[in-house]
Amino acid sequence: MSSAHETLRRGGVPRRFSGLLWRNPRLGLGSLLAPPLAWFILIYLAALVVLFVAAFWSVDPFTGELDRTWTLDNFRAILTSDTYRAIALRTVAMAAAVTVTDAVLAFPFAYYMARVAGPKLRVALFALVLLPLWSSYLARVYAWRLILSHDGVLNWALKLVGLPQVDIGYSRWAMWIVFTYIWLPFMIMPLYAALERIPGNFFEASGDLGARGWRTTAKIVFPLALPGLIAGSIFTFSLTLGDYITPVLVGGPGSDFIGNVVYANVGIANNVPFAAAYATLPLLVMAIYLLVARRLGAFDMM
Amino acid sequence: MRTRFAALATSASLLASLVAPIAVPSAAFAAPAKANYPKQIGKGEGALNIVAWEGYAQDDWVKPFEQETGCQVNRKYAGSSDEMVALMRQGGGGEYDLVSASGDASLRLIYGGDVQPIKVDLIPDFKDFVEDLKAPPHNTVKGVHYGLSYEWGPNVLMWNTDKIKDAPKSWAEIYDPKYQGQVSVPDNPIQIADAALYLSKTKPELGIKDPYDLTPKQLDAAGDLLKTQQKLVKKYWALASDEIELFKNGDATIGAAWPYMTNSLKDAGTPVADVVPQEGATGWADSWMLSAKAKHPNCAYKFMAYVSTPKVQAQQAIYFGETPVNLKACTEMDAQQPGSCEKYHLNAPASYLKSIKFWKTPLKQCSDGSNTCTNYTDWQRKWQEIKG
Amino acid sequence: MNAMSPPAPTLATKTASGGEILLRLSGVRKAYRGAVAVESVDLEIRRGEFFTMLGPSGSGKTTTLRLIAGFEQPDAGTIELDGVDMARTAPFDRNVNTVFQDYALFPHMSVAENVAYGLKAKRVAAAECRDRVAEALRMVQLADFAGRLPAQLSGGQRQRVGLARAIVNRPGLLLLDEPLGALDLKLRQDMQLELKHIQEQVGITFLYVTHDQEEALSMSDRIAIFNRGEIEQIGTPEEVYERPTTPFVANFVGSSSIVKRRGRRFMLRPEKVQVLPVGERAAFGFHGEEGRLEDRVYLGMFTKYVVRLGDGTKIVAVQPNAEGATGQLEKQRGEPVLVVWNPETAWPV
Repeated sequence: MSSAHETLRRGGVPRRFSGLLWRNPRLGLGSLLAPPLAWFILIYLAALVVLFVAAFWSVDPFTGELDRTWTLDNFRAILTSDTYRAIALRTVAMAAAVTVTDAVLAFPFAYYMARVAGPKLRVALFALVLLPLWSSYLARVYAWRLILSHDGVLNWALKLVGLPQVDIGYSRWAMWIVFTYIWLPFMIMPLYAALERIPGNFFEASGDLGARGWRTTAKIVFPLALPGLIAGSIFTFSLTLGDYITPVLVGGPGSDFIGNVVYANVGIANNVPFAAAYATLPLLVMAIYLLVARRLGAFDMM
Repeated sequence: MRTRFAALATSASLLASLVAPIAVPSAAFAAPAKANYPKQIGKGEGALNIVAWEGYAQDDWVKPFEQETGCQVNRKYAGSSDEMVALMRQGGGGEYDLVSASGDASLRLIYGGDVQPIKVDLIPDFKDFVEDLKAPPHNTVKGVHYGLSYEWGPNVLMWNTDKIKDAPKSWAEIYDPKYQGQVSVPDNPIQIADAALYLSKTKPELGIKDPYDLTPKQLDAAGDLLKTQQKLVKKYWALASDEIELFKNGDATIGAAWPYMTNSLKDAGTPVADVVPQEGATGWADSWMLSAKAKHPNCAYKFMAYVSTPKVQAQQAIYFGETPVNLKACTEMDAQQPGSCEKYHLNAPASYLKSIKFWKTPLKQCSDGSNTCTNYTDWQRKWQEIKG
Repeated sequence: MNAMSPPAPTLATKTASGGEILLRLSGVRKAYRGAVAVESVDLEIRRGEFFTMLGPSGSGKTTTLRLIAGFEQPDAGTIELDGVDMARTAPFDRNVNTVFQDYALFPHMSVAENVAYGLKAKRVAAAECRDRVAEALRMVQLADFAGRLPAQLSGGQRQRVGLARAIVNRPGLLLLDEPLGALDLKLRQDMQLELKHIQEQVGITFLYVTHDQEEALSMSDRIAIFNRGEIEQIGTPEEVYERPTTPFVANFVGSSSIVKRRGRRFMLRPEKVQVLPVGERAAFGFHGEEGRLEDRVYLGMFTKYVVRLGDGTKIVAVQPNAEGATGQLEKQRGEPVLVVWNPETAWPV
C-alpha cells in the first residue's frame, strides 16, 4: 500500500470524524441533540423524580429537619382532609370555568380577527391582544385589584351611570374575572391560527349546500377550529391550575389554590414533603387532561 | 407536541420552585449552634444582608448606619415568621446575616441550628435593656443568648372611625356578623392564638391558660370560632401593605392589625384608630438573631449595637408604633414626638408587658411539661382548614 | 329517477335548443374596488342544457358563476332562476349547487358525511338521506369509499365526491367551477366523458366554467366565450368553432391562422389546410399558395406544419398521420411547399 494512499485514507482526526458522521447520520443527530436532551433529563425529569420521592418523606415539625423514612402520611392527609380536597376541587373547577369563559370570549373575537377584519384592523387587533402581555403579570393583577376594590374604578363607574354598586373585590368572582382576562390572549392566539387556516371556500361550500350561518359554525367552523381551541385550553387550564399569585392578590377567604398550599408548605411551613405530595395533584390532572385532548385528536393536526 | 411541552413546562416551573430546596442537602442541625464569640467587633465586611419585618429597616436610620460603618445593608422583607425561618434556611443558610425574628420563630431558629450565640458584652446599650427582655426564654436557652431583644408591641384591633362610630372595646367585634364582608385579619397560623386568647376570657370552661398551649380540643374550639369568622372576612392579609390598602380602598372597616398600619393610614389621611381590647392582645417581642453561617459578622455586630442605641430605638418605636427594649430611649422618644414615651408605655413597661401574650412557637410539649398540646404543624393545618 | 328534474324524454340534451329558459342574466355587472370584473352580461340558459362559460383567466366567467351561486352580489342587473330574481338571495336559499375547483371537501367528515351535508341542512329524513347518499355515491362510482376521509382519496376521487355532494341535492342548476383543472390530462379526459354521462343521466342543467377550449367543445351544448368581462359570442361548439364572430373567439377557440386578402381578414383552421409538395395540383375549387416550410412537428396522431407565405403570413396546418392518407411530407425546413385550402372554410372575421 503506497504511503500517499495511506495518508489520504487516514487523514487527520477532524477528517476522520467528519467521515464518521457522514457514514452514520444518526450519530451526528445524536451529538446535536445530546446537550439539550441531557439538560431536559437533568432539570425536568430529575426534578420530577426528586419531587415524587420527597412526597414520601416527612419533616420534623419543630426543627424543620427532613426525615427520609418512607411514609404515606402526606397522601393520607391530603386524601382524608376535606380542606385539601376542597382546595383541589376549587382549583380544578376554576381552571375549567376560566377555560370555558375564555373559549366563549375568544371564539367570536378570533373569528372576527381571522375572517372578517381587514388587514389594517387585524394588525390593530393583534396589537390589542398582545400589548397587555408586554406589561408584567403583577402589574395587571394589581390593576384589577384597584378596579374591583370597594372604592375602585368599577363601582365608581357603576355609580356614575346610576347602577347599584357591587362588592366583588377579593372574592372568587374577582379571581374568575382576573384569570379570564390574564389568560385570554393564550386562547385567542391558537384559535385565531386555527380559524385563519380554514379555506374560505368551505364557508361558500357550506352555504351553497343550504346551511345557514349557525350550521356552518357548528358543523364546519367549530370542528375545524377545535384543535386550536384545545391548544388554547391547555394554556388557560394549566396556567390557571398552577397559579398561586392571583389567589393571594385578588382572592378573598376560601380562595386558596393548590399552588398556595404548596407555597405555604415550602416557603412558610417548611414542609417540603407535604408540598411535594400535594404538587403531584396538578401533575396528575394535567396528565389526564392531555390524554383526553389527545384522544380528541388535538395533536393530530399540529 | 409543542403544546404538550408547553403544558409540561408550566407544571414543571411550578415544581421547579418546590424542588430547589430538596436538591441541596438540607442544612438543618439537630442541636443549637455552638458559640463562636469574637473578642471584639472587627473591621466591617462592607455589606450586611438582613431579613426584617416591613418597617424595620427604614432609610431614616439605616442610611446613617451605612455612612458610619461602610456596611451596605441589603434588606429582604418577610411577611410572616414562617417565611423568616424559610429565608434563613434558604440555600443551606448564610444567605442572610441577621433576622428580626419574633418569638414564634426564634426557638425554631435556635433548635434548628440556624442562628449562633451572641456575645451581649459587645453591645454597649445592653445594660440599659428592660430586665424582662435581657434574657427572655424566647431568645435565651440555658443562659446562652441566641438573640438580642429589639422592640415589642401588641397586635391591635383597628377600625375605620368614619364607618364605625362607637369605638370597639372587645375582640368580639371581629366575630360579629354585623361586619360581614368587612373584616380583615392576618393570613398567619399564629392568628389562632388571637382566637384562643379571646376564648380564654369568654369561655373559661375550655380551660385555655396560654393561647399558645392548646390541646387538640382547644385548638378545635379556636378553629370553629375562626371558621365562623371566615364568613365575615373580606381578605386575609399577607403583607402590611395589603392591610393598609384594604382600609384605604374601603374594602375593610375593622380588623386585626399592627400599630404601624394605624400610623401609616393616619399619615395618608384615612380615618382609623386602634385599641388593645379588654381581653388583652397577642403581640410580638422581636430579637435580632445572627445566622450560624453569617458571612458578615462584624457588620452584623455593628448593626446590632447601632440599633440598640436610644436614638434608633426611639425612631423605630415611633415609626412602627411599638415599644423599645432600651429604657434610655424614653427621653429620646419624647424629643422626637412629645408624649410618645408614655403612649407606648416605656415609662412603665413591666405591667404593660404582662398584658401582652407574646408570639411563641406552639409545641407538642405544653408549658407545664405535659405532652398534650398541639404543635405548629397542627396549627398550620388547622389554619388552612379555616381559610378554606 | 329524480323527483325534482323536469319530465324526462324532451330533455335529450341535443334538442335542448328549444327548451324553456331556466336562468336569465340581464345587465349583470360587478366591480371590485373599481376594477371591473364583469362589465355587462346577458345570458339565457335553457333547462337541461350543458352550458359552458369559456374564457381566459380574468375574463369574468368565474365571477359570473359566483354571482349565480350567490357568493357575490351584483352591482347591477338581475339573475332570474325560473323567472324569479335572486340577485339578492343568500346562497343557502338558492336552488343551485356548486362543484368547486379545489373540491372544498370538509376534511373532518367522511365521504358519506360530506355528501349528506346538504340533505341534513335541508332536514331530509334520515332514511331518505341514506338512500340518496348511497345512490349519489354509486353514480360517481365511490360506493365503496363512503367511510373514508377526503385525505385518503386521490384527486379524481375527491372531485367525484364534490360532484356527488352537489347533485345529491338535485338542484335546478349545477355550477361547476373548473372542476377538472387540478387533474392530470388522462384523468381529465376520462372525467369529461363521465361528467357528460352523469349530466345526461340526472338531467340537471350544468353551468360549466373552464378556460380549456377543448374541454368546452367536447362537453357543451352551448358555449359562451368571455373576454374582458363581456360575452363575445354564444353558440354551439360548431358555431363558435366554425363561425366565430370576433377575432378573439377565432383565436381563443381552437388555433387558427389569419390571412388578409382583398382587404379582408380570413381565419383558417389548421386542419382545413393541406400542405403539398410544390408542383402538385390542388383539388378543384381549392386555393393554393406557395411558401416555405418553417417548422415541422411530429405530434403522434398529427404532424404540425408551419409555413411562411410570400407576403409574410404564417399558416399553421395539421395533418393526420393516418395509414394511406396523404402521408408525411418529406420536406426539410426552408424548402418551398404548397399550401392549399377550400375558400369556403376561410371564415371572415
